[in-house]
Amino acid sequence: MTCLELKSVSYRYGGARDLVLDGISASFEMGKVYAITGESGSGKSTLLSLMSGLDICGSGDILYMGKSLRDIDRDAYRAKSAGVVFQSFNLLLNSTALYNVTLSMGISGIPLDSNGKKMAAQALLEKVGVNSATASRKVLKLSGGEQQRVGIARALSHNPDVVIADEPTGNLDAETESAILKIFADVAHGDGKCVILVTHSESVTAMADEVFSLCDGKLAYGEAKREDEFGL
Amino acid sequence: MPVNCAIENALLNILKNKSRNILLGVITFVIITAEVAGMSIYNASGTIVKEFKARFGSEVALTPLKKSAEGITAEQAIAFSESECLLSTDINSSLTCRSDTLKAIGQTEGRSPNIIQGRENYGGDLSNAAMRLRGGQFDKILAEGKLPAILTDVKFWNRSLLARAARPAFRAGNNDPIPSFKVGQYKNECIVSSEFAKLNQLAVGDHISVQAGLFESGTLVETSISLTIVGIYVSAPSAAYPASYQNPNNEIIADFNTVASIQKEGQTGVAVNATYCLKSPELLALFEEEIRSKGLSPDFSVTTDEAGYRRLVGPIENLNSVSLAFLLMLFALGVAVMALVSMLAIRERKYEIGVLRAMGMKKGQVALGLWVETAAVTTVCFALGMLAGGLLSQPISDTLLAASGSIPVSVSISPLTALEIFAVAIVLASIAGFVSVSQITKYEPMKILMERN
Repeated sequence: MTCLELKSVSYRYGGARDLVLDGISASFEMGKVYAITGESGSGKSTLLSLMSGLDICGSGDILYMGKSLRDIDRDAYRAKSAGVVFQSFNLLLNSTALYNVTLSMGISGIPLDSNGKKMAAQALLEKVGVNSATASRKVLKLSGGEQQRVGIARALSHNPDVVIADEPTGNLDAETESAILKIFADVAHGDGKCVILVTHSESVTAMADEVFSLCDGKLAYGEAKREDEFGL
Repeated sequence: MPVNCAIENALLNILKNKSRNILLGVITFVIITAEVAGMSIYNASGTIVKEFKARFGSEVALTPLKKSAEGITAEQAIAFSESECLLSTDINSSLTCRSDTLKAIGQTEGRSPNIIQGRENYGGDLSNAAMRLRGGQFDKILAEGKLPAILTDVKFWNRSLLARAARPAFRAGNNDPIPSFKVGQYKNECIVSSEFAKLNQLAVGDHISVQAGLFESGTLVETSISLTIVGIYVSAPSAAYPASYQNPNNEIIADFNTVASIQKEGQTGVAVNATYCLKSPELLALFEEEIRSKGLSPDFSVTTDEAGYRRLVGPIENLNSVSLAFLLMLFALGVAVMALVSMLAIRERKYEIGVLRAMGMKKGQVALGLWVETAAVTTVCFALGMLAGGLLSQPISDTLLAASGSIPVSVSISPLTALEIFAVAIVLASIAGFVSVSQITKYEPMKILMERN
């Protein structure tokens, strides 16, 4: 079942002449892990922000469950249907790790009381490797790796249909990376969600069901797999 | 997303961002304190102006333009006093008199000349034998008492007040206000000083007889007047006077009509003195028009000492204007500072707004959360500011009033005024906040975050 569909999506930054994304078309289905690779500055993060409804494309369209993101309530889409892990985490720095997760649950309208949210958030944080002591500290005082895990827990907190993550394992050690990738795989294969990962990591592309490569504003299918096959 | 999530987040933020909120709170507190103190100064100066205007009416001078001009009659004096232009009126009728049976304080023993003889030699023996029969404010003052008991109990420590317009300051010995007066209630009744009563062994209820000289067709005729003593006021001991009729303790005080009516048609001799104080010098033309229509002769000019009035009231009015300007300036400054601080505070939170928007919080909910924070901080600071301003305002007011010689006034901010200040503070903070929030949230969340990152 197609979850997200890109239709000739183009985008350029305000004032820029060149297109960052040039007529991209692709489909993303539920129950699969997708990896999008590409060099720095190739537009991977821009594509991610468009798919997560944080911005709108200049031309073309992005459909979620067959409906254009232009036409639906994108705030509600981000709150309930999409979970986003940012490269720069974008957490509330002055709040605790736990509060970042419970607030996300609150915004999405999860029907749990305050204690229920805290317990669910704590369980999720422990799943991504953040213990209760760390969870009660302010994000500002957490390491990059810890912040990244909090970001992942927040993205998963409201059980979204599509998880979109930008370099989700960039700050993690190999062991934690492996654990996190297993979580993403479980979310896709176990829970039947759509997971889209923007990455440079070979281990991420290796576990992805499908890989796209972004180059010169164009999205190509399967290149990374071929690189793997050639031992690159 | 439930609205209570945004509000809950906002309330938690107040504690999370203590430093920022304390800074905002201090600024708001200072502004509100200054506003309250400024308003108190303005109110106090307004009270001073009101009191000065009430105390110093613009006195009207009715000046004869010809030597032959006849004075105003008692009827005219009363008719003129009924003008709406007047702040106060002081009408006196007086007549020098003597008595065969009463002695004046300071009178040379055994000499009580015939009034006609005395008049013909004015300044001679009569001056030592005469009393003054005075009718005037007594008709207001006397009538306000429950005679005779109050007058014998009341000590009129300031005798000059007797000649003033009826003032609420007249009180009985127990400090109760003396009830109001009915004109004509005390016809042919009088009060005398305790010194005069002692000298002549008079008591309340005694009847006395005095003689006064009036002119009729150029001839002096003696008229006898009988009066009943209805009160004895406590007087201070007499000082030395060149003539006994000048001694205030020799005054036999009756009501205006009693004295004025001694003079029959075609007679002169009762001096009618009327002093009119306008509510404002600008009313002079209107007052003149009115009293001319009531019969004031063209032989009189009607003027007022506007310059003198301005000299007295002007500086106080200036104080009021300056305090108003000060208040407005404070208000404008407060508006500017609060708007600026709110805008800066919101802009400083651009990242936080971007994160909340990225998490799916709607623009309106972000704005609501920020408003709740601002409103909560403003409310706390408003309460503290009102308290501090209230504590400061009374000493400020007392200092100002003491400097102007005015009576102390209890200065307080009314609940309505307090509500207005609070509303203004909230509206200002809200406007400034919403302008900033709307500027920030008009961008897509990614743009906000990218700019911040």
